[in-house]
Amino acid sequence: MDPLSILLSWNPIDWIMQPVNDIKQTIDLLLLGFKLVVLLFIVQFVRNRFSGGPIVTVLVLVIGYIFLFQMWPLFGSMMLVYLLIFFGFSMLVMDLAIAKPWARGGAGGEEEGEHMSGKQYQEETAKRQAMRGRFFR
Amino acid sequence: MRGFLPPMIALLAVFLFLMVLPIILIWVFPTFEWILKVYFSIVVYFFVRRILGSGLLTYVVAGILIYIFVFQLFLLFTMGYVLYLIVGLGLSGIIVFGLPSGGIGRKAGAAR
Repeated sequence: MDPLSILLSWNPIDWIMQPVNDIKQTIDLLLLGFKLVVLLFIVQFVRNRFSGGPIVTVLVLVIGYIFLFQMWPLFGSMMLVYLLIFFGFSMLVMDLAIAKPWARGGAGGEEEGEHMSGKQYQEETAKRQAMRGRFFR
Repeated sequence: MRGFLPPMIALLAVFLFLMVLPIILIWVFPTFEWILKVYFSIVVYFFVRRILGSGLLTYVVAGILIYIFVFQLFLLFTMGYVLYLIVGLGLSGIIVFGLPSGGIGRKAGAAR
């Protein structure tokens, strides 16, 4: 192909949409994998409650159909939240709620000047040693 | 917001660094990629086997999941797995409590 025909055949919209399409493909693949994992969780849930037999298969098919095809936006988001809690991400939120790093002055927080300078630290240490000497003579 | 954002950004940066760490390791030691792929394949297979038991269906489902997560979405899965390990093993508590406070050197009587 000569350069002119390459230039004429170049479509800027395709060029812009290429990364968007790649991301969309990745998200689709991720959703497919997530749906399979959700189906596995449904199988586990049904098997835990029914020992075996055809009822397990029927229930898995029915619940799987409803969850994965009929009401996926609702149940998919619910399953995502459930999995996040299941894998312990609630602990992270609780840690953040307890620790409140934004209210402690560290890493540029509100209470500026909370940390000591070297001189202040020396003074503080000297005071502590003096106190200790007073009590443990 | 001025007090909220900096420590949260610092926390996010630490988590992101830990999540990207295996990718840096892969970049430095390319063999590490295959070690991780084998390990993830075993993890996925045992996850499926725990639910479906041993059988042909287990191999099929595990194969599909391994293809999707371990081979197609490897970097995403690696980052997610590291995050899962950090949170699952309770290391997030160490990061959250340890990072922003700077325990030694606080002024006496400072708000905790």
